[in-house]
Amino acid sequence: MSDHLYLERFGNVHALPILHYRMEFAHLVREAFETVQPDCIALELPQTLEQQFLRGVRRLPEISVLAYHVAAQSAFLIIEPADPLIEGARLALENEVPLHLIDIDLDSYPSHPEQLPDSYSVQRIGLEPFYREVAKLYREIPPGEEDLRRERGMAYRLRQLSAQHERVLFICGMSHLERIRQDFDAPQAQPLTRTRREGITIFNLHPECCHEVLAEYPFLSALYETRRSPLPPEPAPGGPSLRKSFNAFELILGGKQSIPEEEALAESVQRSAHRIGAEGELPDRQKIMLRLFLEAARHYRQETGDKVHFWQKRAFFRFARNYALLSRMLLPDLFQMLAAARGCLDDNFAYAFFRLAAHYPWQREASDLPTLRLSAAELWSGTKRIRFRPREQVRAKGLSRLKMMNRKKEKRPGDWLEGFDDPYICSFPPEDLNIEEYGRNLKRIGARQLSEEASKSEPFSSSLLDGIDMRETLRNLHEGKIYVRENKRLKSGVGCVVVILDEDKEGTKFPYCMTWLGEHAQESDMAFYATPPTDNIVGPGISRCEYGGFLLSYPPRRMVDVWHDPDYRYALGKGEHLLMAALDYSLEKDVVYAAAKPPRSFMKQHAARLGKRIIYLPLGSLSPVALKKLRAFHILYGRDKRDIAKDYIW
Amino acid sequence: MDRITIDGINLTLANPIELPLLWVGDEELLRQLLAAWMVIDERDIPFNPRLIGKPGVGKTTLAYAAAKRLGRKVYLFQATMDTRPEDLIVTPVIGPEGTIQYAASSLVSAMISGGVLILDEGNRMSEKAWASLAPLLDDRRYVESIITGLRISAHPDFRIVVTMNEDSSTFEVPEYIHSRLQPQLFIDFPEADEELAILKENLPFAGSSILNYVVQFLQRGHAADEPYSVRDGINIARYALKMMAATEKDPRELLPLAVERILGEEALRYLK
Repeated sequence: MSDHLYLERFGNVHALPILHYRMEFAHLVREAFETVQPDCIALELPQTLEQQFLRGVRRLPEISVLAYHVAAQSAFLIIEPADPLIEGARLALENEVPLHLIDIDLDSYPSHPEQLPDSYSVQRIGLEPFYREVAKLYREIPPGEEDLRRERGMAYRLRQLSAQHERVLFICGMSHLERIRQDFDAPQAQPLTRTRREGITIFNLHPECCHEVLAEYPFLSALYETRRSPLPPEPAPGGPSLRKSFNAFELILGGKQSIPEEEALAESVQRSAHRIGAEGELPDRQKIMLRLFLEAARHYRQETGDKVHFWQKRAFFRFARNYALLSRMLLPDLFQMLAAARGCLDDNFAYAFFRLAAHYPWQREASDLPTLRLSAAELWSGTKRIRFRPREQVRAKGLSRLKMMNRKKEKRPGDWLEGFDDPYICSFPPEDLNIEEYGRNLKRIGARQLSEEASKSEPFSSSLLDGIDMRETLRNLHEGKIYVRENKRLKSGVGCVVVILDEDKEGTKFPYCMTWLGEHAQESDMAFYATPPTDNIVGPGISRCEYGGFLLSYPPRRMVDVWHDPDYRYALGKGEHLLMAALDYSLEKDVVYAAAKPPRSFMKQHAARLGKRIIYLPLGSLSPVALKKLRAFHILYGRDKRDIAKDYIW
Repeated sequence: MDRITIDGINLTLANPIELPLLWVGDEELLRQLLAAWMVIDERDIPFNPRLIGKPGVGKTTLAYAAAKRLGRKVYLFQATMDTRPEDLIVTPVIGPEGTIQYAASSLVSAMISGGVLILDEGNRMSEKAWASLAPLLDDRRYVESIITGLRISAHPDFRIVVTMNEDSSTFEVPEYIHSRLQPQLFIDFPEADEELAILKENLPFAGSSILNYVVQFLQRGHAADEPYSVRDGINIARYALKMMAATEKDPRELLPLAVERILGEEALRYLK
């Protein structure tokens, strides 16, 4: 018996106290099965559901929903892998052990508003102390009449089973076990109960609803399911990517190759299944959360080119921890993790996180059963009651308010490639406006920096100049003088703007070098180096590129192809190349150069020879949010894409 | 006004504020803000969260409500593009006898008394002003006053929250400050039922039909991505009610006029 497991024993009944719908307890059912080697399994479920319930269990790992009507309301039972009762039934079927559903069927089940401890603590302290504390809590809650009827009914059935079998494994909610044990020892009458229930329907759950209605989020359920059987080999690094990359030839042909998004997500599940503990061990929920974060970070980098910084990772886990603790849980639920992902990183990361967390590889829309869409609101609202077993209310939360989840996906593999038949390429106008505005902003910052450098303070003599410099006056109070400040205005304006986001020293990351002329009088000429458009397809005829660096030059229509200009052959790297061009094309004396490193002194001398000056702005002094918005841009294949682009661009 | 002496320098402290603000929006947001401020050990340090959203969605109200939930004194600092580092920390003032005295800003007052500072419209401040707060916003948790030469450490109970409008930056918030203002909590326009609850809370004397009408108007505005906020809704309903008292007309007749006066003619298209 493992350190975690604990079984209550009465007669030849081995009872496992559980919390419903929690993965830790599903695993403990497996351990209990191995330890007890039962010749009969009894579950806290009504016998009236048996036929349809077993059909749902046989469908696993595909998830099913049992639905029936109780008075004017609907009751649902979701048959998902990481649930202890479902696991019990599954083991019975797989090992051909007799299975008995021994609960009685009632039309109403009282729900208690108690707050149960996080099941994760079983991982750390084991089941026995956990159960002792929860049983103590339940002793203080007076049971309802329905509870007592059910418990007496289950005790009666257990006595029957214990007479027929040698070792009975009984899986039962913690709230009932203590009283069932007492009832078991006392003689019980056969309970009066419903023996048949009509109108029970079984559905296939729509894959898009999994994240909202499964008790354990789909990624965790998928890991549990993967680890149920012998683990498949760990995928080698560098497998399929979420970035939809094609070569130009494929684009022109309309694309024949399928896009392996599902494969990339399934690979993350497989890799994670290996890294959350040794085979057969209780999966550690905290490690699962870490794996989900790390895999989402990888996908985020593939899709957006952005890296998750260490401080962001630390903030995510600290904030998620606090958020869970405020809800009196040890680890956050999916909603809380998504809120932390959005708050500590950004919407794109939260989307990558959500997409993986909501991925359950086995669920399909097409099925042998009718497919049902179900939302958390339907399950928990006052008009329709979910489930006939109580579940912790705190976990009932819809995610529909996170709007980023409505992003468009490909309807079928290769769907987006069909938009690439137009040879005309154009930009997305809102992004043009953004970059122009940002360029003007950098010019203002540059001019202000020069003005501040030129400002000076001096003791008051004849003129107050631009006002009293209080700080300088106080600093030199012992002199008894008043200091005044003169703010000098920069006379010359700023001409060109160069922003180097990544120097691309290896010369491989941003191979796409272009010179674009402004379309109209309000738009600058532009030269840039970026990722190739075939590298990231985000919509029908829509490519996403990332700038490595760019140059803006105003007024427009003056720039020749800077990348093939022999004058700039002395440049070391693409950044210098753009800076040399900027010095050439600038009509004003000053050129703004924003980069992580200042320009070489050679460049400053070169600028001076041309009668120009470089205003250097460290990249870190600019807003990372503004730069992130700017860094990605889109190339549209055909003007008609301008109408639909906003639905695909994020 | 309280006074305190630090390293021989007398500082006058600012007074905390009391505002009639009550948060009736999404309880989950309040919980997120409290989670950001929470510490679980004396070696743990709180986050310095920022609240981001369009004007009028209730950023300051949320911050105030969360601070009140903690039971702490609340201080408010309104940042502007002219805010200088010394305004944020200690400013010299001329005393009654012509001597120089030092006044602690609301930030420093909150730091000393273990209160909560709401730094409103933080994105309007220049980098220079932000730079003076950098040590406060990381593990060091102190500020340095250049004018007095003092290093003032924050009380362990001190908490800060920065509110920012999404699109009206005067200056850029540099990277080193960005990484210190975490997490970012986004406040969106409320759902219809929340919006109605907010209007009812602010206008308890208004009839429900007029409030419903205003909510419908606002929701149509949100759907069209217009920047109309609950604050605008409150003003519209209040204006219509006042006009009703003056003219004895039906308030629903007066709503178009109220909408036009408060939001302009182009908003009329969202009225049914």
